[in-house]
Amino acid sequence: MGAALVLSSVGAGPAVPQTGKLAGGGTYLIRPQGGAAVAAVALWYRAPAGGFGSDAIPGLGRLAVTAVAASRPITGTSLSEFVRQVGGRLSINAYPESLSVSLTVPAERAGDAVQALTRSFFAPVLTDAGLALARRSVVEDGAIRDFNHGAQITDAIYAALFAGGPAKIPPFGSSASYATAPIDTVRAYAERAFRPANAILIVTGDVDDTVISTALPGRGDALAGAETPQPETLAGVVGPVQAPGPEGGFGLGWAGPPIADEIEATAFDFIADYLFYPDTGVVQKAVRDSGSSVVGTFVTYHDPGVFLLTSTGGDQAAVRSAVDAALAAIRRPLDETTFIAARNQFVYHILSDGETPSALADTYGWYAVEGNAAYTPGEGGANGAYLAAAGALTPAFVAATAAKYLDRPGAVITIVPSAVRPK
Amino acid sequence: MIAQLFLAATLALSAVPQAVDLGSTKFYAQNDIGAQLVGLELVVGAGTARQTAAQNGLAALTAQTVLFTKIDGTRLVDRIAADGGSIDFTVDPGVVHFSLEVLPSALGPVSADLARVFASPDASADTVAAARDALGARIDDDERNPVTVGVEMLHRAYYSGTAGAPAFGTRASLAGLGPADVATFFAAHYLRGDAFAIATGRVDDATGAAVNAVIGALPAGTEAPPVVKAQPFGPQPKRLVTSRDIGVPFAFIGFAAPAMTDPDFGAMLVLRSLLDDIAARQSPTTLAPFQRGINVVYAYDVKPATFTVAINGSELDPTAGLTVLQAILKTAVTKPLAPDIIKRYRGTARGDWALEAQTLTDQAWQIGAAVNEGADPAMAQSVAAAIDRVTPADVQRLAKVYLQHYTVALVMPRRGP
Repeated sequence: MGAALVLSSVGAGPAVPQTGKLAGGGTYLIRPQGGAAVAAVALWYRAPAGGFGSDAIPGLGRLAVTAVAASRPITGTSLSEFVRQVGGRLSINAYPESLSVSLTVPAERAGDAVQALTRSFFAPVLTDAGLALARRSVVEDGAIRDFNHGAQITDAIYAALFAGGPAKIPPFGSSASYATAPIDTVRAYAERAFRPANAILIVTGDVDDTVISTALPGRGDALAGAETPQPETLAGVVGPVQAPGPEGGFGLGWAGPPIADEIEATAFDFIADYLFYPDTGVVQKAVRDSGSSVVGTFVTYHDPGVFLLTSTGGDQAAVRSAVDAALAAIRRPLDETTFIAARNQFVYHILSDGETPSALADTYGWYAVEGNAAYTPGEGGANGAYLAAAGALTPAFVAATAAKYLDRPGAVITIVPSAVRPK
Repeated sequence: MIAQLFLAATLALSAVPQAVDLGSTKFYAQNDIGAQLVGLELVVGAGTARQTAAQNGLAALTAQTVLFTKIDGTRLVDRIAADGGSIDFTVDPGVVHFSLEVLPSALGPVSADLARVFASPDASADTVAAARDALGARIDDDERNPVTVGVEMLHRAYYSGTAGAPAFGTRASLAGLGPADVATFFAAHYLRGDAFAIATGRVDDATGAAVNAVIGALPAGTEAPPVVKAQPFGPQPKRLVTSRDIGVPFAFIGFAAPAMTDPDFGAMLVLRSLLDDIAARQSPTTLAPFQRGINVVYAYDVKPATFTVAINGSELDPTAGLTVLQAILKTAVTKPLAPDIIKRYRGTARGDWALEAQTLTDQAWQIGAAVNEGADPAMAQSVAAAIDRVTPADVQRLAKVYLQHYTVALVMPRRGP
């Protein structure tokens, strides 16, 4: 009853996205929002992080997208400089099989941002100076990431869980891989990955659909058609992996439902939220005083999704105990009161986390590039696919879905502090 | 009643923040019919300036006690989470902001809970002890952040009396505060006549009813505004030094600054953008604050306001940073900056300002800050035009008025055993 009230009043508020074809191929999606006079403009591409060939270069996609953003064409400014001058923000993300470059700008500059972004990426110019700046930037990003011990465990989970496919290759490279990637290789990657026909352009915020008229078509001789998802190969049963690290920790990972299975994927989002959302998650509350950092999430990929958790530092025995208890308990149906409260929190977190134009653009971009834009969380309000799936969840279904996937072989990573010799 | 009936229809016409007539309750709203959440900020006149010298942290302890008051055995903060929402608070010298964000369907039960707690907060020993523990954890977090440490040092030096006290107090000061202190502070300062509310996002008739219920539950009354005064700068810069468990030194230079209602606010935002950028190295992506050599913390929501330039020792040697900053200030005072520089940073400042408040909570906070300073609730929307009018002469005048006197604070790495 409580849940029905929640979902019915989430309502038909959000604007309906406008979608269509870009002049050079590819697709666009415009989702206006009220509130702040801000616009987010993002380009998403399906492209393997390590490159299209058989000899993967970890981090190649990240290096290429950063280099294009940093390169100054013969006339005009680089994308980076444009964003800096308008007081905007530019962020770049790389995942196993997708890349994004996102701008957040004052709404009055939305058209300029669409033009600048499509000018940079639909006919990518890659200069020596831009590549040098990009190399420094991605190496520094990697150095910062090295302080995130959970991120390193995440890489190990993917490496153990997959035997082949893009998910096997980490989206972050090493200083060596960034330094030695030849400019021609980076350029060839950029020309294939960033071609207009492979693009998904997302515009959110205080905009209307006329903004799309500022998009440039790109080169006429660019490859046609978009990339299709590459198959992922699961490793199956693998033994526990033990590795040294700066502090103790562990990671667990399982293959989960694909994005096409909306109700099961939503059930795993719910499970991740219920157990691991900061401050409110059952496990987070249980380990609050352990001194550990625990992160758990479900990543909605094309096929399969990945449910994973990492824990670092503090009292690892206490965390492992809490995690094991929680993962055992989630295979049994929650009582109705607990379930309804947990689902209320889940729906709230979904909507709150996608509240700003940049967060909304990221969410739409992710679900579009993974092949199911209609399933974007919050899209269509209560009548949309995602919240309808959330509304259809039951305690029994959540428990059965948890058991279905978590009883299968997964990855187990144990990090032993470097001072302790691994067995 | 008529006001409530027409609330949604009126607000739907405009997304501009505006005052809404709810009778004696002061309420401001910015409607977005496409939003899927409601943001609600409740502002009470119970900030640090209401504390005595012996009550450091009492404003925060009282606010935390409100969140931890139990209804039917469950804390308010947990009941709000279970209904589909969240609540937190910040403490300023003059006021405490309670920031609430909820699913529209949850606003009714959440506001009823909040009204019950405001009508009768639980200042029992157990609840206050739990609130003290929770605040202790927040204090520990702040102590690990050199920027928070530096800014709080400068605020203590800048403001007179308890207005400059750290927002959450210290663990030691909280240990000396008990249930009676909390109960007395709540009764004295959580007054209906001084409180107001701001709603953002999906605002409708139910929002007005919720605000009336919550603010109506506070004790009746009003009191004189707290006195928030700055101490005069001496002829020579004051120098403050402390140490923490950090890897590199940080330096902070604290200035007086115009508040957001001041005609010079736009010029100060241009100067903020310039200083934020001046030591930033070239990067393809936007650098996070910890990657920047200089970060400016401009607390414009308090009158008198403060403008703190933080030099991050991991990116810029503090001594070199201070030298560069002094050179810039000397130049800015001596002669107008070049028009093309001012033009460039007007553009940057416009963007920085637009991106400053994107969440419902931040938008409500910005409206509340304007109202709290006696300005139009839509004041934030006129700032871009004010930035556009800034001239080199404005910046030079600003530098002469505000930037010739300052205090320096250093946060140094603690020496090992």
